[in-house]
Amino acid sequence: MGNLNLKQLLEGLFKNKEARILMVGLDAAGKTTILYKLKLDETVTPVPTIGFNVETVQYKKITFTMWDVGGQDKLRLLWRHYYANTNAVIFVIDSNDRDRIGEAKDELHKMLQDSQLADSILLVFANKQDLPNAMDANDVKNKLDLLNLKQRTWFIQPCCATTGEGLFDGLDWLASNLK
Amino acid sequence: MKSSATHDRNKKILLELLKEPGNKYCAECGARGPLCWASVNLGIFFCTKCAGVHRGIGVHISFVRGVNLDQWEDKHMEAVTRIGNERSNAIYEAGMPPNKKPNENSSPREIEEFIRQKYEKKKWVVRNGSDDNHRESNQRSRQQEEPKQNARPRREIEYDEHETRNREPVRQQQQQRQPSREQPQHHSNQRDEYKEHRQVQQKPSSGFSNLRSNPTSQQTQIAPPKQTQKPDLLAFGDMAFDSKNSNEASLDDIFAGAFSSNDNQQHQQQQQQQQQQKINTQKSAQSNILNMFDKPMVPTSPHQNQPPFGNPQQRGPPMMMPPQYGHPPLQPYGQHPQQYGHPGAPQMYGRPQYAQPPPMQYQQQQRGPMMNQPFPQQQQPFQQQPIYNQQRPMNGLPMSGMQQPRGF
Repeated sequence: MGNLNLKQLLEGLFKNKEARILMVGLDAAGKTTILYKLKLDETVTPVPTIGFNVETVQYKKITFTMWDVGGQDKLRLLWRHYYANTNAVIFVIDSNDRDRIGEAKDELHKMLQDSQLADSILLVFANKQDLPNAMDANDVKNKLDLLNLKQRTWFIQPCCATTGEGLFDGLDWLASNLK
Repeated sequence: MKSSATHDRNKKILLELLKEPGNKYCAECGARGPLCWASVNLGIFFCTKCAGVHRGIGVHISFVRGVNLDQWEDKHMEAVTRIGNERSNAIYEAGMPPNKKPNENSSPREIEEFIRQKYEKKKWVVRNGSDDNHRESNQRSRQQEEPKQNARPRREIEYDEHETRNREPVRQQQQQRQPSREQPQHHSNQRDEYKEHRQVQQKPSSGFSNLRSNPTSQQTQIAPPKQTQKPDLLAFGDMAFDSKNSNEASLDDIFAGAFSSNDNQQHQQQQQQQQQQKINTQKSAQSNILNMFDKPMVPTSPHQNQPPFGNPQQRGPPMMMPPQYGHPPLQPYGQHPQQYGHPGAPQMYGRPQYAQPPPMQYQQQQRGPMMNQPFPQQQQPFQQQPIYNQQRPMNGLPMSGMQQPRGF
C-alpha cells in the first residue's frame, strides 16, 4: 500500500503533464508560423490555413497539444468545435493591423462567452512586434479590453513569430498556470 | 456586419472578375487559376502559395483576403474591380528585366524577395526621369521643402493633373512617344492658378512676396514651420493609422497639414480660401493608390469638394483606403470604354496606354514618413514587461508594482 502511494507520488512528480491548447486569432495573425516555430524552430512561410494544424510540443515536462485553427471569416464559425476540454486558449494578434484590432476584440470576447471555455486560461500573443508600426502589448491589452475579463486568468506576451522572440516566455506562463 | 446579400453580391462580382483574361494567371508567379486569394489594397489576385507570402509581409503592404473564405464588404471591392492583375503588373513590372519573374516552382523565399522588390521598393516602376532623383526628392519634400526642389517644381503635381485631367483619345495615340515633359495644349484655369501659386510659394524672396503686406512677410520670415513640421509628420503617421481617433474631418486636416502646412498658413493670411480648397482637394486626391489606375475625375465634379477618403473607419492607412465617396460612382471593371484591358478593346499586353507613366510616387510620398522614419514610441518593442492580472512569483518573489488584483 505504501509502495503504491509512493509510486503515484513519483509519477505525479515526474510524469509528463498534458495540456490541450487551442490557438485562434484573425487570419494572417501568425498562428501557423508560431506553431511551427515552436515545434520545429523553423521560420516557415505557410499557405493560409484551411481547416487546422495540430502538433505536440514538449516543454517543461508538459506535452502541449496545440490546435491551430484557420482564422478566415468563414472558418471562425468552426472554432467552437474545438472548445471542448481546452485547458488554455492562445489568441494571436497581428499587432501591425491596427484596423482590425476591434474585430479581433469582438471575436475574442464572443469566444470567451462560451461555457466550454469557462475553465481555460487565456494567453494573448501580440505578434509581429518586428514590424514598423506595431502596437505594443499595453496598447493591445487596452484595445482588446482585457481588463474587463473578470474571472479569467490571462496574460499578454509580445512576440515575433519569425524570430521566435517571446514565444517561449508565453509557454513559460502557460506551464506555470495550467492546473 | 452587413447583410449576407452584400457578401453574395460581392462574391458574384469577384467570380466574374476572376473570369476576365487579365486575371487568369497569378499576379506574382503566373500560375494558372483558379485564383482564390486577393490583395484588397493592391487590387490583384494570386494563387495560394503567393497568398501565403503576401500575408507574411504585413498588412501595411498587402492586405490579403480569400475569395471564398472571407466575406467581402463593399469597401474591399474598390481596388480589385478597378485594377486587376494585368494593369497592376503593367505598372509594377514595367521596368522589370525579363528573367526576374518567379514561376510556379519558385520557392516562397524567392517569391517573397520578388514581392518586396516589386511593391515595397517599387523597383521596376518606370517614372519620368531618373528614379533615384525622384525617390530622394520625394522623401525630402515630405520632410522639408528644400531649395533643391525649386529647380524642378513639383513634378508629382504634374503627374496628378495628368491623371485627373480628362484622358482624351489623343493620349492613346501618344502612347508610343517618349513620355516627355511636353505640356498639354490646353491648361485649365485652375491649373494655371495653381502653378502660379506654387511658384510664388517656392520663391518667398521674389518681388511678388515683397509686395505682400507686412504681417504676411513677417510670418513667412519666422518660418520655423520646418522645425515644427517634423513632429507633425510623425503624428500624422500615428493618427492616420489609428482609425479610432481619426474622424473624417481630422483626416482631411491631417492631409492638408502633412502636405503643406506651410502653404496653408500663407493661404489663410492671404484669404485665398477658394484657391486653397482646390489645392487641398488636388493634393489629397494624389495620395490614393487608386489614382494610378483611376479614371479621370471631372475637375468641376461636386465630388471634389469632399475628402476623397470616405469613411476613415475603414481598414488600412489612408493610402490603402478605397475612396468611397470622393470618387465617381464605381463601375465594374471593363465598362470604361477607354480603359486599358477592356475586353472589347484590342488586347494589349505589356505597357499600359499611358502617355506618361502613372504617378507612382504618391504612394511613396505617402508612405515616406511611415516607413522610413522610426516611430518614436516603439524603439524597444521587446523590452517592455508583460502585463499581469494576477500575482506571479518570479524567482520566488512577487513582482511588486506589476500585479493587479484578481478580477480587476
